[in-house]
Amino acid sequence: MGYAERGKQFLLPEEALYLMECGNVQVFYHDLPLSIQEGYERFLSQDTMNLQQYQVFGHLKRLGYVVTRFDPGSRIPSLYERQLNLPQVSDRPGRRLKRKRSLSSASRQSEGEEGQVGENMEVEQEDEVIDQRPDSRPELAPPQEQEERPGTRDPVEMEFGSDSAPGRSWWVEQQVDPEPRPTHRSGPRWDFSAISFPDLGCRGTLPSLAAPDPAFLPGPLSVGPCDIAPWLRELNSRDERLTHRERERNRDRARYRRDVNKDREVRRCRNWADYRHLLERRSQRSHRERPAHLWEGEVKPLLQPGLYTSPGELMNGIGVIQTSHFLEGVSRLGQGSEECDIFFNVYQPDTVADFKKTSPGKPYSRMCVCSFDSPVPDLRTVKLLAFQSGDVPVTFAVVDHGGHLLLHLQELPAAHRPVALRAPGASRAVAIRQEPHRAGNRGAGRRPA
Amino acid sequence: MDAHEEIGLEAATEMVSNPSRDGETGVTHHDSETGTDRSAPMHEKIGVHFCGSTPLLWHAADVKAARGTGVVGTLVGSLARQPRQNNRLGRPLELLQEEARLLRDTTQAVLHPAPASTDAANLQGVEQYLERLEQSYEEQRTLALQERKAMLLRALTQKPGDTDEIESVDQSVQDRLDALERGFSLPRSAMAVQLNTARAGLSHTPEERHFLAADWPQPRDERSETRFRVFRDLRRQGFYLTSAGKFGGDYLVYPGDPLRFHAHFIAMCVPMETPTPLCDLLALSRLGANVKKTILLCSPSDDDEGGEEEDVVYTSLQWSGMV
Amino acid sequence: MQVMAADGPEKAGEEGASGAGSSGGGGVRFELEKETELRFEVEAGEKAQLELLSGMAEVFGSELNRNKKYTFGPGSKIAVFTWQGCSVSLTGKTEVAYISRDTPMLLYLNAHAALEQMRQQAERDNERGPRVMVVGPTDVGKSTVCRLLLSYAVRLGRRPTLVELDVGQSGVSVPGTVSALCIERPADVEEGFSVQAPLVYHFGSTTPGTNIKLYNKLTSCLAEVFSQRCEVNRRASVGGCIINTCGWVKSSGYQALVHCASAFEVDVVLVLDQERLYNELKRDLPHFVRVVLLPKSGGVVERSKACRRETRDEKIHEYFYGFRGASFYPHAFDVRFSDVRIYKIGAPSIPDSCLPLGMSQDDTQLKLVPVTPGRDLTHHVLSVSCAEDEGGEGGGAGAGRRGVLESPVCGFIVVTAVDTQAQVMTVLSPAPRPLPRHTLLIMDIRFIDHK
Repeated sequence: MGYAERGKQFLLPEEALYLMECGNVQVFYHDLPLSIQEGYERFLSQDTMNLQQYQVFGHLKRLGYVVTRFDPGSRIPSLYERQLNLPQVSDRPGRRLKRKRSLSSASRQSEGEEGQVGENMEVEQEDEVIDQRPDSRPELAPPQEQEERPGTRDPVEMEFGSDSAPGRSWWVEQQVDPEPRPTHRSGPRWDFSAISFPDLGCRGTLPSLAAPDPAFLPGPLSVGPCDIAPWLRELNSRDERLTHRERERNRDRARYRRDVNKDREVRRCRNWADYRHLLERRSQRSHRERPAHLWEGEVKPLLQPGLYTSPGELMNGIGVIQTSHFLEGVSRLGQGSEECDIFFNVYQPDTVADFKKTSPGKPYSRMCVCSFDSPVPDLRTVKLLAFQSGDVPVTFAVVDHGGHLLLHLQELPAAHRPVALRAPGASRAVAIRQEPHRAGNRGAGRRPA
Repeated sequence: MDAHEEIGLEAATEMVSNPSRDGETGVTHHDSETGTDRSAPMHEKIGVHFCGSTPLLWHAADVKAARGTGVVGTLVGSLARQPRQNNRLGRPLELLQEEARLLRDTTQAVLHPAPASTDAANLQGVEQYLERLEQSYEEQRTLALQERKAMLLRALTQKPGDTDEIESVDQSVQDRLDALERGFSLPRSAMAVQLNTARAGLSHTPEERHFLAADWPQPRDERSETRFRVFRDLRRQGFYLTSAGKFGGDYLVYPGDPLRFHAHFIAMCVPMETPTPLCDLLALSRLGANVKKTILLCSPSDDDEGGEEEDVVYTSLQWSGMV
Repeated sequence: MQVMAADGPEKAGEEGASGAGSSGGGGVRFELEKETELRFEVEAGEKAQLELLSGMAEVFGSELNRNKKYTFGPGSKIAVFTWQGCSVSLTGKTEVAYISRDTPMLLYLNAHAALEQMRQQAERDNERGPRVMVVGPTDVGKSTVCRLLLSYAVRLGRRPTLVELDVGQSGVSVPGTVSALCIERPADVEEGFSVQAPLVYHFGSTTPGTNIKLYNKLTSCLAEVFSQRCEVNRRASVGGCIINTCGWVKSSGYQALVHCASAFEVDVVLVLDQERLYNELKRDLPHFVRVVLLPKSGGVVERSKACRRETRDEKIHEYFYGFRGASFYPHAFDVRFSDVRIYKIGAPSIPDSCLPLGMSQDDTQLKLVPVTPGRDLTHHVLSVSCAEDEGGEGGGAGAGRRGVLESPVCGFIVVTAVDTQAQVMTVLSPAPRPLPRHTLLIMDIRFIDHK
């Protein structure tokens, strides 16, 4: 528990409170020890951890789990990193200071620290001796101060943490776009400002046409300038016979169709090769959203006799709708869920002996805390949370008036899925499983005070 | 001072190394009533403290009194003697919003506001605390010395294995005991200290209480109003109620104390005018049948809003499978 | 890609016309001022003769020789233009004959000058020359403008390419085809461009709307072949191309124009007459394409449907019998059904509701559908595809058939009679038997040989 910073040992509010409840720590405030009630009232708040979250924390701690706060920023490798299978970089530069274990009660570290106290509230835990700090500062540092460490992370780490979306798209674009840019020319090939076409379309801008350069004329012709104005009246002589529908379409097009040249990307194209490349890339982009198996190739029967031997394979064979992975498309969902966040990493009790804060390893589960009053997390939230958590399952701890329900949201294994019955567009079936053990055993054990 | 907890060096070591054994050590009970200022709880009102929006009871007397009035609540704190388990828990007692509100409305309880965070340093309190600490140290020292002596004596006298010689304590033993007394010092770090559960402090006078009485921390909406009216009516009829979240309902209704009875009903609070989908009702009644409880749809009637004896309409649903 | 109609290119224009010339005697003399034109239309069933007496004049960009009599067949609509002033004499029965002053020739000449400037730049920079698409509704003189621009370019020693995408009124080959032709000399005043070694693709119908997918595909094919040619032939590359398009400029027809512009990577689009089309193209083509609006050529008149059909028939007739039916002698012979495979491009359209989910009609449009020979083949024009004949019916059918679509046509035949009993059909062919290839593509177009 706790963490070291600037050579001192700190406890998070919930940790201090839990140790207080266990009778292992005494917290002083204004030179007076805090009661547990005061601990509840002072340590638990909306900003740090509310009562529900603390109840889940305490519940798990009492069961022996190792519970740490979930740091939303850095610890989850992005999809790309996961694909690369990089070794986990878990030691963080800001936190390399390992807790110095005070060896015995004899080494009274506090005496040495008294001179350089920067923090106002410190909880010292020297073996199991509860110590009093005689020189506490007059005001209580708000517990939130300990909370702020995610914000003060190293810039390096921030970059590492926020890599997922932009970093990946950059990479993808690099790969998709091996565009061989012709470098020898910067602008379009023809300079049409120097080549004068008798364009009646730009009315008024050129009232008369200068005589063409004789060098361009067939034969020894001597022609003078040409007055354009009379020709403007000669335009549109062939009246268009449009049906009502065509007229309507034209009107719509005129209204809604954009000039392709308003597009900046199009403006950047210098020739047809560039332009076609651009269009191809765009159509590919829109294509990618379409399921690939929908009439791309030749039309053939779904099943060949004798191809499948088991009903399961057969079901998969006639599965017209592509199986979508639960985490598919998460990157498009944007960031952040407001009402529901992963709060804890939970490590199993049997790992306690080997558990190291510097390399915690993969958690057994990650925990969200919600209550019956809060809205049910929607699929978007669940997807985001699952993505954030990576390959660690997310458990929802629903707190009900002192009792807890632990719920897992998980994908059904593919073999049990009825293929044809899934609604199109729906993501994978999500089953709610209630954790059978240790759920709601409070009710049975209720005792009178 | 409400409750004390003593943790000796040995006990604490044991607790860390082997939590399961801590029950055997001689730790003073956390919940024991040692204070004198709270000896007559019946005259006191129950103090409800809020943590966030959750009503909590901290004082053992309050908990007892609340139980006496039929408020069940849930214990959510760690048990001092056995902190590392979930089967039995200790104070604080978490109350349902409705329980707290009923207690207050029936003037059996006062709501304490969350303490102002900027308490001035209480020099007097510090002095008092240090004094008590010193006093406790002396007491413990004496106790520890006596224990040590007894141990030594036992060890020395048992060595020959002769019980007859107990009376004739020989001189050498006496000398050693004296030497022990002279040289004995209890290290401060080995001293047991007390850790209070509830806030230490003076109880307020009724006037102060009235002045300090907190407003209800949460705004009331229609849903909580409905729940409360149902709760009040069922309580009035003598039922004991707990939360029924694990059954997907609002309350579990017990005919008597939950320790002695199973719940008979799962109460669902539905306003009179709210349409309920039939499949929800089916799901509920099937669930009720499975856990051998009756689903109770409770709708406060709208007509006699202000009346004291208001009417709540109860509809029970029972699944009867046709065979 | 040799053309079957290569076995008798001897011309016999003068004899036929001489009779008519005598009836008119001296004829009517027209004095043309500088930059005016004489327009005349030959009556149906009649002929007219034109002779340049003094000065200089040109017909659609081709210069007239002095003191040479040019004969124009029935229904011809001719405009004789002079830059400097001239006098001509016109003999024969003409419906109208008048001198007009408002002719957009000067604008066309300016357009040519701009294109020539581009060619010079291309020559200097070792780049490809301008690729020009001429678009406009029907009967605004697209073909005329193309011919004019090509003739001017050739007169300056360029080697431009004419890409004929007007399937209804092909200036190069029979209707129902798209083609490309390398222009090496100015158009003949009477005959138009000499058709030697054109690249022809089978389309099968006179309107692109019957199979727009195929139309676009053939456009792409032509563009690809042209680009390949440009790579190996420097002069062709500098000369660029002039693309003549269909008069269908609405909905799919318009889309086909945009597709064509993209396939050929055109640099300049000349829009004739229609401002709406001009504005739409400006909006839908990227900024590096110059879209130019020009007035239609003066004097062009709207042709009736019957008139168009007649022109088409004439074109097919000309293919088999030569210009004015005097130069070629086609062959007639029997072809056994078993010797040939006849296909139609594009399956009959099925209502969308009958299609499998998600499948679109487009997929059927490029299908090669075998046609069982029968009586209904009679009078249909068939293209003889250059595609290699398939070895076996079974193996590699898919690859082989795709080849047929993209293979040029080596000639055309017309079925004159079908004998289902004997399983043979009689065909009219420009070359004697046997047929050079055995893959035949059927057209919607019929030709009834009156001879």
